[in-house]
Order: sequence, then C-alpha cells, then structure tokens
Amino acid sequence: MSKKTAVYGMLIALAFLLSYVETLIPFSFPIPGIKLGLANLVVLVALYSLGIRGAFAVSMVRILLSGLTFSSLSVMLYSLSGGLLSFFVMAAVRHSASFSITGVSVLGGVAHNLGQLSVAVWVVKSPALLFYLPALLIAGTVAGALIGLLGGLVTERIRPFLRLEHGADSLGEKTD
Amino acid sequence: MKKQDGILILVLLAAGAVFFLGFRLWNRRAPEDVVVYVGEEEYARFSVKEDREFLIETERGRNRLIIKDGKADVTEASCPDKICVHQSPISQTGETIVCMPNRVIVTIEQAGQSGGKKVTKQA
Repeated sequence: MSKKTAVYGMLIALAFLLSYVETLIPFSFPIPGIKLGLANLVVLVALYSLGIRGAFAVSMVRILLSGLTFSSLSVMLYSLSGGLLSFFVMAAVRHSASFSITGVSVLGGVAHNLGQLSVAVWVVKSPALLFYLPALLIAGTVAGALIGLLGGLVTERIRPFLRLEHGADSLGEKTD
Repeated sequence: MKKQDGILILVLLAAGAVFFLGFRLWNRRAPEDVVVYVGEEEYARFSVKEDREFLIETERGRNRLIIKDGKADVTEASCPDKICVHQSPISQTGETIVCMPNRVIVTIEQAGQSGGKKVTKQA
C-alpha cells in the first residue's frame, strides 16, 4: 500500500513538473492549442504500468493541479475536455493488438485536440473555428508520435520498478 | 513501433492535408471582407482592401485589429495568453484568428456572404 502511494505521488509530481516545463518552452505556435503535451508522457507510462484506473487518477489530478497553478478555470475546461477524451480513447485502444504504445499515443494526441476544438466551437458557437482542424489534426499526430516513442522507451525501463498488482503485459512492441 | 502505427500516422497526416486542401478549394473565392464576430454575433465588417485600425471592446476585454495591405492581424489583446496576437496575419477566405477568452473571432469572408448567426456555410 505504501509503495502504491509513493508511486502515484511520484508520477503525479512528475506530470505536474512536466506541465511546468511545457510552459517554459519559449516559442508558441501560431495556432491555438498546439503543444507537445509532455505531461501526457506520464499518463501514457502510467497506462502501461499501473493500468487504467491508476492512469486516470494521475491524469485528472495532474490537470487539476496544473490548471489551478499555471492557468485559469476556463483554460482548465479545455485541458479537461481534451484530457478526458484523450484518456478514454487511449484506454479503449490500449489492449488492441493492432497498435503499439506509439499508435495509442497518436490516437490520444489527436483525440485531445479534437476534444479541445469541439469545446471551443461549442463555447463561441461558431464553425469558423473549424479552420484550425487540419493543423490540429496534424499537430496531434506528430506530438502523439513523439510522446509515444518516448513513452515506449521510458516504460520499458521503469516498469520493473513500478510493477504493482498488475502482471507483466506486453508493450505491444513486438513487430509482426 | 508496429506497421499499423505507421499506417495510422500516415492516414492521419493525409487526412489533415486533405482537410487543409479541401478547405482552401472550398474557400477559393476572392477574399473581400474582414468580419469580426463576438460569440455568434457579427460585431463589425470591413473591406479587406481598406487599411484601418479598429478596437474591439466588449465586456470580456479588448482586441486591436489592424487591416493593412489586404491582411488582417490582431496586434494587441487584453487576455493573458496572447495566442491571437502571435498568430500570423490572415488574408485568404476562411482563415480565422480567434481570441477564446474574449470570444472574439476575426475571419475573412466574401462580401455579404453571411451575417450574425447564419455562419454555418462557412464551415
């Protein structure tokens, strides 16, 4: 039990820290909503080492903490909508035989951006925002792929230390 | 990384490119008006050909719009993130600059293309 608490605390702290690192990236893309999503690296690693419930807890606590610390409640609404959709998509395809951690992360990245864009369209009630769709689709794919590749490397190395009640299951990295 | 991951990435990138090109083709007509929406209401409409400076002031905040050489740009905003200010100037029909905190949308349309809430065909 205490080990579990320590692992969760550590992962949440790490995700929180990466949210902060993300705010330090000096240049901003000319399209709203485009970012690397470094904190998602932790959620992804949690999904592959702690399982769905653990990863969900890490993701939600991270959004709450970084939303309250680095942004406002309205910005948190976008993070939350993107984070929730992304999480459910990743959790749904996590055990699919078709995709490895990279594919799962790509789908999560794209889902994140679509979730945010949907809320933005709903907030301003204007379809003019769909202008951003192609850019957000491509950005979500690229960011998701980078985080996924990184997540694969990290998970492989830290999973032996994180293994709790879950048995070892494959990263889906076996090539066919 | 599996083969399916690569296919997924390629399909998504291609979908992005197709949406982008489709959007461009759909909005191929000559750009004429710079239209400012606040939420779903049309707030102001100017010709893209006339240089001007305009202040969008609402209860949520303030944005400065500059139209120059056929391009519209937001150069100042009262919101904290300044995403709209960082975005490059727009000049093609359908291109959009948005300031979410202030609910301000600056977009380029054809003359008299739409008004107020009837913007659905813009998508």
